[in-house]
Amino acid sequence: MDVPIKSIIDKAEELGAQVIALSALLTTSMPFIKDLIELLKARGLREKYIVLVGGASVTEEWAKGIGADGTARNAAEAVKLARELIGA
Amino acid sequence: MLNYLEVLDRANSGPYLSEENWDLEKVAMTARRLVKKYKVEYDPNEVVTSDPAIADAIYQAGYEMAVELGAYSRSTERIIQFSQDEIDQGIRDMPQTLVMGEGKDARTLRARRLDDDLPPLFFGGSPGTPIPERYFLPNVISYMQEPLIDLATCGTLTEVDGREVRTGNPIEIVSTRRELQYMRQGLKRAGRPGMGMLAAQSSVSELGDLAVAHPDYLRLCDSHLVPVLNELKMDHRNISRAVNSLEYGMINASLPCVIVGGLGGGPVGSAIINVASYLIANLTCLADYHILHPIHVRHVATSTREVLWVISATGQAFARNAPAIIVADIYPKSGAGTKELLYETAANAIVNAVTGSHLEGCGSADGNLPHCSGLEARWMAECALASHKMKMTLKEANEWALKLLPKYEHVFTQDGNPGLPFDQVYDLQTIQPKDFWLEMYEEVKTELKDMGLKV
Repeated sequence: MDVPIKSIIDKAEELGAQVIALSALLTTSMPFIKDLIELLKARGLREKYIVLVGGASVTEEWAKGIGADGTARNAAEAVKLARELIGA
Repeated sequence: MLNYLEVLDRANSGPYLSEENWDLEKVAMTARRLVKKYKVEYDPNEVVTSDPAIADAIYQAGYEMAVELGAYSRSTERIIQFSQDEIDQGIRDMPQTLVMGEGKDARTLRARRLDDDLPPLFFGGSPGTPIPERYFLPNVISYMQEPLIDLATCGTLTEVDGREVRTGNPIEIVSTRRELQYMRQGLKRAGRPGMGMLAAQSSVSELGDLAVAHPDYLRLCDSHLVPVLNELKMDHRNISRAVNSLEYGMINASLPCVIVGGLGGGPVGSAIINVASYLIANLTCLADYHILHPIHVRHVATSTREVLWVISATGQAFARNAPAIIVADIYPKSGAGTKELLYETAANAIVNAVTGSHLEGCGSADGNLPHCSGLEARWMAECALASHKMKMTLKEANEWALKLLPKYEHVFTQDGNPGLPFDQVYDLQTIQPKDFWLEMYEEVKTELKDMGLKV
């Protein structure tokens, strides 16, 4: 909640994360997810991470449109999807 | 009454605790302990309990939780503690009547009791639902023009002048002011300029809310939301909303959206947290009335068995022990243009009306899509008024819920049931429901009449 996108990317870099998963409950929070993907691209990091998006306001169509790697209806499905995409 | 600046002081001086420990050690553990202590069990076949001991136990446990825990400030990571006397004073100060709106359109909300002679009042609108600007005005008029609707609410503008609205961005100021301009215009067009509103729904952060505290936008006879964050938390942003009302004087509606299946565990723990949230909100939100809107952890909708239980238990808990003005949001899973939306709305309306709440709705399609219209708000009011006219008992309300649930529960196991957007179920010029949507409504109405509902 209220975490700047730059901090999310910095934390992913610090931890050596493979997946960045983001959730937006409200429509007016969704643009920040799009911003994160754009910032990853700008920093040359887009290919380094699997980006998953979800939350009540997110649709599959929107997720595809912003170039996310996948979406899930809830946290449990997101974990399953992340495992699949990582190949774990 | 506790000076509100004292609440701010406590947010800046209370004991430190990490948010994680607040969630787990304080809220979750206390909920679990109180559920065990009061020995209340959830029964999926009794979504409206007829046992007064259950309602009283939920109230007592929620009271205990509020006194023991207080609230948490996310901004300062400190606990905002209250004494038992302060909690008690907050309960005594809960308004029993509240006039909203002005002139001939004014309505008086009252703290309802069980078996109340007074029918509930109805807020019409799809609260917080994202609505495109191009049909925001006809959408709100579709509710305002309904004769049974007493008060107005609305969705959220997701774009203004083609620009997307972002939380915390200055554009929120523009969108919230634009929302209020449309609302005031809508009230005039509907011939009900004095109708009271619950608005500033486009203000996710405090920015828009602060920007509409002006008689041209949100009048003193209107209300705005002061949310309680999950669970029992505040932050400076939301405290600012309450502070902003101190001298301006607009009406505060507390909004705790307790997650059913979250920190409280099942429905019993969640109802306990809901009670505690209101008692805390009396002080932290300066609440004049409370919104009842538990959220199902998986399905969101208020029409699920679990959430119906929480709604009915919380409503009864207050109606029996500390009457308060409670306005229950109806957030069905299904969207406009579907029969399931009408069944979900009927179940929710009956349960809410019989257990002491006023009603607000409908946030159709989980309030997630602009698939909402004034017709289902008409239906919400008709079903609630029918239950009131029939002097429906708690047991009968439960029987109705159990008859209606099988007609829509399948929507929770499929990928939603979003229905159609507003512009496909209403004619945007005449602002009347399209034939197929009106026929569907008439068909369901006839079906429920045949089942014995006096709509």
